[in-house]
Amino acid sequence: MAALHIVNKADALPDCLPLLADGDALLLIEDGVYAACADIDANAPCHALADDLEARGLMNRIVNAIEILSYDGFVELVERHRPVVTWSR
Amino acid sequence: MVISIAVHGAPYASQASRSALRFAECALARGHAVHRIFFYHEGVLAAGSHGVAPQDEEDVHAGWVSLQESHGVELAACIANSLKRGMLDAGERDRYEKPSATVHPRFTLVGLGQLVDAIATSDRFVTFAA
Repeated sequence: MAALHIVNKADALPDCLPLLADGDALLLIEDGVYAACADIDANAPCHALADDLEARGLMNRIVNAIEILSYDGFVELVERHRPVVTWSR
Repeated sequence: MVISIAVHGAPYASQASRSALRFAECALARGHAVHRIFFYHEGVLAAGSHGVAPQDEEDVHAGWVSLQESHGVELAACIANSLKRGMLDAGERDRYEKPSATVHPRFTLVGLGQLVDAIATSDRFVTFAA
């Protein structure tokens, strides 16, 4: 099964991008959602948590093809991926 | 599906505890079993029973206690990280002759073996970093 990469700080995103494998997915949460405001060169589907985007006023500033998820969508991503890896700084 | 969670960040200093609580509540609502929450590093501060949350802020400690009472989710705090931050249950208070216990009785102080066990026995293990 492919991995889910959770990024909770935008600075941690470059650490994880080179390690994305086929079928993996990327999820931006907490301060990781700031990364949605700049281009992400990822060969994996990108998601961001709606609550954290809203809390930071970023809903209208997303420049990437990113799927916006509720916590329900977060849990659903976890159901479909293993392992779940968290990247932070 | 059996899910366990690690929390590495302290309440107020980090969003980790709030995010993990939201995630756990949502996982339970989707029919999953949440087996153990492992509080590690600064995350152990969520176990403190002496904090008083501001009236206009979420009380994440109370949220964890409520989750334990309603769903039997195990709240496990790393004992080494807890002791050095003044997080003591009644047993550790007596052992070290301190004036009071500071950990809520719904939390248990455990060793790292319980972290390994949670990873080994759960279908998914999700870490909420500081």
